[in-house]
Amino acid sequence: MRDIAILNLTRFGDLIQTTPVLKGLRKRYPDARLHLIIKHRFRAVPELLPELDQVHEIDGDHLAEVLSDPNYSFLERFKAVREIIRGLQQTRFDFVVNFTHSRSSAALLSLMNAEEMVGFQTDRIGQRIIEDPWLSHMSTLVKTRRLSRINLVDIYLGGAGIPGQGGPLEVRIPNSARAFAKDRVPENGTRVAVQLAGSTNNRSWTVDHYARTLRRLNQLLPDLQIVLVGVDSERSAAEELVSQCSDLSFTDLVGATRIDELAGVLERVDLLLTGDTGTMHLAAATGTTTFAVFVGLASPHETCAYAPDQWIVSTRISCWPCSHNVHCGNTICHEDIPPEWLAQVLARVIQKLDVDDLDVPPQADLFRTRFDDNGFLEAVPLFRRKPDAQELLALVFRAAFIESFGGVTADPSLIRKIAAERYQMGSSNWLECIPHELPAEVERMRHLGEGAQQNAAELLRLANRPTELSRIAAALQQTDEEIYKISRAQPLLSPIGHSLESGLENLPDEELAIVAKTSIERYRELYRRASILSDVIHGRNAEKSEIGAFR
Amino acid sequence: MGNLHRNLDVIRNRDPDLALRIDAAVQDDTLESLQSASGAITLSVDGRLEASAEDPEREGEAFAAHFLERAQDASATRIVLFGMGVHTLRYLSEFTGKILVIEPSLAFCKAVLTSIDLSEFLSRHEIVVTEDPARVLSHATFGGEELGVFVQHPTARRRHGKFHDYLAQRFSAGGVPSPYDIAVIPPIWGGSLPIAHACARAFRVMGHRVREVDFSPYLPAYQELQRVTADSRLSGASDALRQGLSRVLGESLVASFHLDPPDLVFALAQAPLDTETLQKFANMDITRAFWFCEDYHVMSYWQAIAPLYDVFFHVQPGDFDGMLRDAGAYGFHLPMGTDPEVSRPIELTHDQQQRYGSDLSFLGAGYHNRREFLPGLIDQGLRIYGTEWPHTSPFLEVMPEPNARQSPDDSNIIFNATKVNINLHSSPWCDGVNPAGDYLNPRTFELASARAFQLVDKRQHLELSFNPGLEVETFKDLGECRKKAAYYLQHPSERCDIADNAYRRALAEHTYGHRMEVALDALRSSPRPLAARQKPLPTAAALVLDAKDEPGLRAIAARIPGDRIMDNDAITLALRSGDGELTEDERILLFMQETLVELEFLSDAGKAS
Repeated sequence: MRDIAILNLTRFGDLIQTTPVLKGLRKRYPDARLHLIIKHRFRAVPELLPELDQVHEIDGDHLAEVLSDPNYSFLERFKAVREIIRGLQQTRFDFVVNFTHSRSSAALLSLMNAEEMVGFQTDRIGQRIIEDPWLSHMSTLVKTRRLSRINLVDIYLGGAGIPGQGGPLEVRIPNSARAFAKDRVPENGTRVAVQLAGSTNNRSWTVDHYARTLRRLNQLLPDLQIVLVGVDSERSAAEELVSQCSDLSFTDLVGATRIDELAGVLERVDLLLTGDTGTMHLAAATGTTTFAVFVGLASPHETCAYAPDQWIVSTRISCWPCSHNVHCGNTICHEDIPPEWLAQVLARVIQKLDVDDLDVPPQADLFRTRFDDNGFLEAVPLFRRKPDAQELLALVFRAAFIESFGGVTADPSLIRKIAAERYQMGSSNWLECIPHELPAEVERMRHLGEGAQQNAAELLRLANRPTELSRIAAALQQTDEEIYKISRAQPLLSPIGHSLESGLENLPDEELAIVAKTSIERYRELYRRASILSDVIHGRNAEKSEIGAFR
Repeated sequence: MGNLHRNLDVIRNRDPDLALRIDAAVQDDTLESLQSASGAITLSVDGRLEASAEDPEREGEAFAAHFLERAQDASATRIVLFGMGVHTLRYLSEFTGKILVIEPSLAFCKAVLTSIDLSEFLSRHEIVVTEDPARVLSHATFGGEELGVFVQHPTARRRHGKFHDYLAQRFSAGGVPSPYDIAVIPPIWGGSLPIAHACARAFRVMGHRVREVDFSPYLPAYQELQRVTADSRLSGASDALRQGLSRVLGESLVASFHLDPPDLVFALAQAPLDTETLQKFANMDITRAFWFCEDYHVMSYWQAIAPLYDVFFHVQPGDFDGMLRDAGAYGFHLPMGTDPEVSRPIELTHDQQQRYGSDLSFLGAGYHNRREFLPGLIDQGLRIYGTEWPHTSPFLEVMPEPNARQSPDDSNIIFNATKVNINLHSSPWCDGVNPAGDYLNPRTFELASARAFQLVDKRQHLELSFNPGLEVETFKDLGECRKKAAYYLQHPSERCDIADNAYRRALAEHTYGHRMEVALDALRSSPRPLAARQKPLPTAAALVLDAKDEPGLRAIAARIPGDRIMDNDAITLALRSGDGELTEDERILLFMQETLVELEFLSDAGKAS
């Protein structure tokens, strides 16, 4: 391939999360030109990104103005939009992958001059589809967040055809930015950068919590030097933190750094304490250890910094992480993480000491990231608690989905082994840890999936018999409904139902034979996922094969 | 040479007959020429001053400046001025377009020409002195196609109100104005609701973009508020709740117009718009019109709201304009009309004839005067339809569907099935015919366009709309009503001739389409004129014209109705009506559509997180 493009019209943090993909693509296609299509607003970010050959900007602010200003006629709008498209069409791409999960990006992708496209797109009649299983999983993921254990960057890598082959986040820091940091960041002491993010955002811990943590940390580490970073809009929160910690030593760089200078500053500190922010990804990309507080909407399994040995503390409240469709008005999850305890953890992490002997707060969890044997990142819980059905099944779904997306065959015995390592399973088996009605429902799903595969195969055989076809189609529809019913009644099985739904929604607008073959594949996946789950909970071992092989 | 001769010499060149008539006009005793404080001449008619007693020249100059400003605002090259004033014309000479002055009084004209030298004005512009509408209507300047304004001297309007109103209603501002974006605001409930629908239809037929606001989802709430405050002792609470509901509905309109304000809000009687809402519309530069389809003698709420509108249309010619002016409002007489799509001649089925056929019928609400009057026609075969009638004898016996609300279509069947339709205008205080009744109800026009024969009570100004005896038959009291009903029942062909005449007149002059044309002309000529749109409405038709060099886009736009605004729904319609694989232009439209939905995402705050 000569020209490969990534369409990423998202934000700063998401662009940093693209770096493993760029590295993986470079490794796979050393001679290709790598392009990145971004919003003009974030034009400073690509300077930091490795392996990039060309950047294409879309001025979203200008586009928004053209489309919403009544002084522009419809024709003027049309021509302005076409001008943007024509700019993109100047380059003929061999391959474009869309990491933007928006409908407009799907329409935009279909207008690009590309040989092959992957991700959210529109088909030849304008219907939105996602054919790639990795990127399609994003639709399932948003509906089943509590059971999801696949990092967003791994999904990006899978979508780009290089699963598990990206390595950690990485950025290039210009010398000028390093010089800037050298001037600003204290030379001595324990240097901890803090980014507060917006105090009203429900996934950002409050200033009060940060202040309590830092005051305690200062008692534990008297040479503590705090470097405040962030954007202008966080100024008032930063001032409040400083006023609550009058005895501490602060270097205030809020609103005072360009993006490259911020990278330089983050590279120079010992640790960044923040929430689920773009700055977290940037710090990890500079090689600095991050310690992130994940509450509210933020899930470490989806968006923790994509690098090993990053730390995350989270709530354990049952409603966490919030659904993307809600705005919580009672963020009690922020109280689950005791600031004084967190300060102790931070001190140990900075001093590279074990945290095993610390008290375990009842409603908080501590995670540390690592790459598994197949190159996928995971946030591993550090406290061995009693097993919880949701946690156990999430392990199974991680393995089952990765298998169906790429080929690493799920190994039931390995899943059970991991569970035994992470949870206090004791002598109890899986059946004792999950709702008693679940195994039977799993078996029902298997049988329904098996029957549906056979019916879908009949579609091919009966292609010329419309009456028979209608009967089979009706039977399949009934089966789908049964599966969705089980999925709704047993939320722990919802990833299986939602992924089928998403898969069937994305059937190609093609002739019957292709639709039938794709349907067979979707039901086969469902059958396989239910089978893996059945094998794990019943203690059966499946044959191991093809581990590590990808399509 | 005196002023009169100088002026007549100029007039003679253009209109010798007029010069002769003016010269021959005799002195009018009611006219008096006076010297003002400034020394300039002023005139009085019947003891009332026609121009300022202090400084009539300065006043004339101010009038002229106002008229010229109105013309400039409307980009008009044509001014039609009702009443010549005393000194005004001297200051209008320089107008580069055409001016037509209409002066109803020959004696007044002669008095002005005797007092003031207007030769310069008269050499450039025209004057007609007449009380004959036909002469004015046929004048090339009055009926011109170029942009024009109709302006008036208030004193002339006071002296010749009916004539003024007649001309004002028939004046067209001309030009080829771009379609407007009009929001029609109906009441939540009541008699003006079908009129609102008819106005919206009429505007739409005229090519304007129409947003017909629908308050029907709020009707249950309105009815519930009425129910809980039905006790007369709760009238204060009832008013407060109604005002509260108006506040809510008004604010919802303000919100819905916020991103895309219409050019004009056209509200019907009882529309729930409070002063705060109207002020917000004004702040958004939306022109505001109200059609007060009520009797101002009965309903007094006009006093509070009329000044908040740019034009306050009403149905009563005569003194009401002056009262509105005194209240700080601009009034304009706009009679009721008919929707010929609804009120029309129909072939009745056998069942309809059986059910509704009758010699005499009356359709309307059971107002006091009707309850007193109509029993006197029962022996002639009268049937009564409508609501709010007593559930007692003799009404019950003559109401085939007691107190049922008739739909517009059902009403039309009744009109068509009745030999003699009685149309008695309502009055809450008269016992029968209101001797001072000064407006025409919608029924008058609806019956006419249904080609139905009607006997209507005598109304002042009826002849402005229909020719009594030729197009409608009238009665002044029960005796005359009975006599004429009996006569026309016996003479079906005369009945049909009259109904035919009324039908032709209604279609030619009295549809809501005609009314809305007059209304827009009046709005364009009002003191705060409705400006022409700077840009055409973004309709599919406009896009087809605009996209001459874009054949692909043009073909897509041509797939959808021309009057559709090119919004996201229209794009959806265009894309759906296509066939097969999307073209590049269609994909660009799809991208535009999706991007519009995600504008917030596109221009997000760009935080570094």
